[in-house]
Amino acid sequence: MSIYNKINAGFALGTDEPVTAGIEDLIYVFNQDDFTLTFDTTNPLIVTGLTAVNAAKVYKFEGTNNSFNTTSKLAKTSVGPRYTEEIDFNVAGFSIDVKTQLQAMGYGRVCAISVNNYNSSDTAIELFGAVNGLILTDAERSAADETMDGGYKLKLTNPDKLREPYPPRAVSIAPTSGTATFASTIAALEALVVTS
Amino acid sequence: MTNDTMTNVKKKYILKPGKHQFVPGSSATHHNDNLSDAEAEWYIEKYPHIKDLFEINSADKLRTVPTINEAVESPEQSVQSQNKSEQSNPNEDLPTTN
Repeated sequence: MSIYNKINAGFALGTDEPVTAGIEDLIYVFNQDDFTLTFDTTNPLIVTGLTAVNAAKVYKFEGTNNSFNTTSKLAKTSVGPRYTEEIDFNVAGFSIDVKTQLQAMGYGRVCAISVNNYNSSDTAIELFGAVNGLILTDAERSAADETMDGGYKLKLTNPDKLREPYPPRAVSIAPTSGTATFASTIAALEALVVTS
Repeated sequence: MTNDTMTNVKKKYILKPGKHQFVPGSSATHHNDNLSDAEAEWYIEKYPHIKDLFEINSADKLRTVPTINEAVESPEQSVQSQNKSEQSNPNEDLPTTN
């Protein structure tokens, strides 16, 4: 059994690749029951593969102006640490199709992948909702709101009474031959994105 | 232990590295060391989408598959070990990124 409650490394502050804030203004979203996940053999924090069921696709939501954000927060419970997750994003559009997607995300569970601006790390690309999925808990549109200019302000979070047992997973997908890198992971995700 | 029984068994269905979910949302329990050819065939029939997770050898090319413990010493796996050590360096940043 792995020693799950013993730390085995520290952290040294340095000027080599300091951490920076924010995520790129895009999230990859897919229906939780459309994909199976493959995890690293020894580390469940690393997702090494996504496999589509019945040729399912990943959907990309794009934004602008550093308006997307992800939050992961530890929640102490009687049975150990759990993690709440939130993804704030928006849709700079207003149509029946947008409403349809938002309504679906309010019923069904999805998983979301974000790309951190700090991409020197091996956890630059993160998967949220790996175990229990996420649902849309905020979808607000104020037609006269100058901040959003009539677009939808959205939030994906854990379903009621559910939290994740792990921090957000790192997505690290290797190319056909070779080592997984940031570029190979993005390429693998883009290959799954629906093209119109 | 399952690993012992699977040692040096020539397999037709080689599950790619990692622990796999065969059904979305399930626990990722399937790996090459705990899956026989018969089980693999059954799962692929029931869940065709997992076929790409396998490397399927034809009958005349059955391969001897090392277990996880043996694989550490093989050249192919040592590349992965090296990769993990490379990945471990940025892990030092984890406390600040989380």
